[in-house]
Order: sequence, then C-alpha cells, then structure tokens
Amino acid sequence: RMASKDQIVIDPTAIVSPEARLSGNIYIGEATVINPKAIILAEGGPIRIGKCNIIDEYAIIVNRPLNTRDLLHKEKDVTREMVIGDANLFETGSQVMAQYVGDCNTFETKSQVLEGSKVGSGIIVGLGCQVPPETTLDDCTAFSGPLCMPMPLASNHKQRHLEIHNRHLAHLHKVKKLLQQKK
Amino acid sequence: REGRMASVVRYNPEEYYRTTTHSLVSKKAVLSGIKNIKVGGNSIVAHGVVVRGELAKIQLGRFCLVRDNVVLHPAYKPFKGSIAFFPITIGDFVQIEDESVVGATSIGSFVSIGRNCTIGKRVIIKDFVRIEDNSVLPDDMVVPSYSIVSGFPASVSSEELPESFGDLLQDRITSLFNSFQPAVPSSSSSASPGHR
Repeated sequence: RMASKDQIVIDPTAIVSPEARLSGNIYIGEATVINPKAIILAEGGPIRIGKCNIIDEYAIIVNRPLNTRDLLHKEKDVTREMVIGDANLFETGSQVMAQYVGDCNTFETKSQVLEGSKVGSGIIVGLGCQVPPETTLDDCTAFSGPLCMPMPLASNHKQRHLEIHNRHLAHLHKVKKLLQQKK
Repeated sequence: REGRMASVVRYNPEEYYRTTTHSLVSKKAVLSGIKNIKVGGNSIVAHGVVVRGELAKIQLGRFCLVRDNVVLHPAYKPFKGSIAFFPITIGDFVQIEDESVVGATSIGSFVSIGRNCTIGKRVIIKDFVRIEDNSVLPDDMVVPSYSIVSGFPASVSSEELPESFGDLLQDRITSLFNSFQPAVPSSSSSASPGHR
C-alpha cells in the first residue's frame, strides 16, 4: 500500500483556513476559499479542486477509500482522482463524494452526493437532498426535496450563478484579508 | 421563580470563556468577526459551534443555549452590484440543539430548535415555536408564533403548541444553564437554583 503522506498544494491566491481539516494528496486552485471546520479527505486518491470555489464550514469532500472491487480492477499505480471544477459553492454540512464535479454548482446545506457520482455544471443540489451513489447529474438542473426531484433551470443559470458567486467570493476575500490584518 | 435543578453537568473551565454577562463560550467554538457578535447574558455556546460574524451582525438574547456543532451562517441576497448579508437576530430563551444549521434572519424568543435541523436562508421564526429534530425549513419560510414545525420539507403541524410551552421552556433552559457547572469546584460552586 502506498504510504499516505499529506501532499497539499495550495495556490497562493487561495485562502485556506488553518482550522480546516485537509488530509491526503490535495490540490487547491486559484482564489478558492476554504472556511474553518471544512473537511477534505483524499483517502482513495488525490483530490483536485479548481479555482474560485467556496467551501463552507462542516462541508465534507471525500474521495472515498478503495474498496475490494476497486482493488480487483485497479491497475498498478493508477490512482482514482476526484476532480472538482471551478466556481462551485459547498454550503455548510454538504457532503460530496462524487468522482467528478463540474463548474458553477451549488451544494446546499446538508445535501449529499454519494460516491461514484458525476456532477455536471450549473446544478443546484437542494437543502438536505441525498443523491444516491453512481448517479450522473445533468447540467443546469435543480434537485430539491427528499426525493431529489429534478427541475430544469434556465439556460443562462450558469452565468447568473457566476455573477452572484463572484460577488460572494470577492466579499469573502475582502473580509478575510481584514481579519488577517487585524491579527 | 425557582428553576428546578437538573442533574449537574460538569464542564472543563479551561475550555470555556466566561463573559461579563455570565455567558459561557467554548474555546473550541469558532466565532469570527467578534465585533459583530453579541451574546446575551446567561447563554452557553458549546464546542464546535461556528458563528460567521464576519459576514453580518449576529445577536443572541439571554438564556440562549447553542449546542455542539451548530452553525450560525448569515444568508445573502444579490444587491446592487454586490451582495448583502442578512444579520441574524435571536431572542431570549432559545435552545438550538446539536448539528443544526441556521441561515435564518430572525428567531424570536421561547424557541426550541431540535437536532440536525436545517433552517434555510432568510427564514423568520416568530416567538413560541418548537422545531422538531431533523426538520428542513426551506429558504424564506416564515414560521408563525405558537407553531410546531417538522418534516422535510418542513410544514407547520396542525397540532397546537400548549400554552404552557413558554413557561416550560424558560424553566428548562434556566435549569439547564444553572446545572452547567465547572468541574473543579471553586468556593462559589454551590450556586443556588436560578432565581433571576
């Protein structure tokens, strides 16, 4: 088994709170903000997080550990990477174990996307929604309610999300720099 | 009025800050933007609580019990080329149990929020409300006074909240607060039951 040593590469423009829990082989892209008490565990392979993401407290991003089936089919030295795109919002308590996450998605409070899933772009996973394992979520759809009912979003949703998201990100950067300076 | 003394729960005094208004705030809680955070007297902020004061003003009333890992995270709305965050105002005698996440803009007095609840963005909760465990309140929901709320998505129950709810909650919170005692007894440890 490969020795699991933390190898965390953080882009200099990203803001990662020291109180966040990061473990394993993780790359964090430009301008991404990771708040205190966030949890990112690269257990079964590396996690690559793109730019401009916001990860709130108690959000859990896990590249789940390999199970027996993976080990049987796995070629030597091939790692299963979890890739997260740009401008996603991981709200408080959300749990994301998907294999691929695209851009401009919102994972609302306490939503869950279970292992093996592929999340497209421009998606909203609503409050408390639980997306089962190995599910593919189509672009520009909102999922809400206990049954994760899909509802298509306007085709310009990605742009709208990006507008609000960038303002949110700029505000966070400003506020966190102020906090840093006060210390 | 005398609060009944619940069984004493000892805490490690080195893990809590004691404020001038007799509140206890855990050192393991994350309170950012402290200047924006007001905690009323006789409140307890437990371990793992995250209060995002750097986003907006957050105000808690007296006798607020904020349990482990609760998150108070102000909601926002796009506003004039930027975004505006809504402050969070919480009244007196409010209990928020473990793991709940609050994005509400206003919570009244005499409110009990159960475990693992999700209070959506900009929600308004009036006075005398009980929110059951695991409820998920959608964004912008308004909860009227004397409601019992439960479910996912949450709805107001047709069952009526008993009139004595306020008194019982006040009693319960007061006695819980008074029975929360430091582990190493100091000379003034034998506090008398609540008589505030």
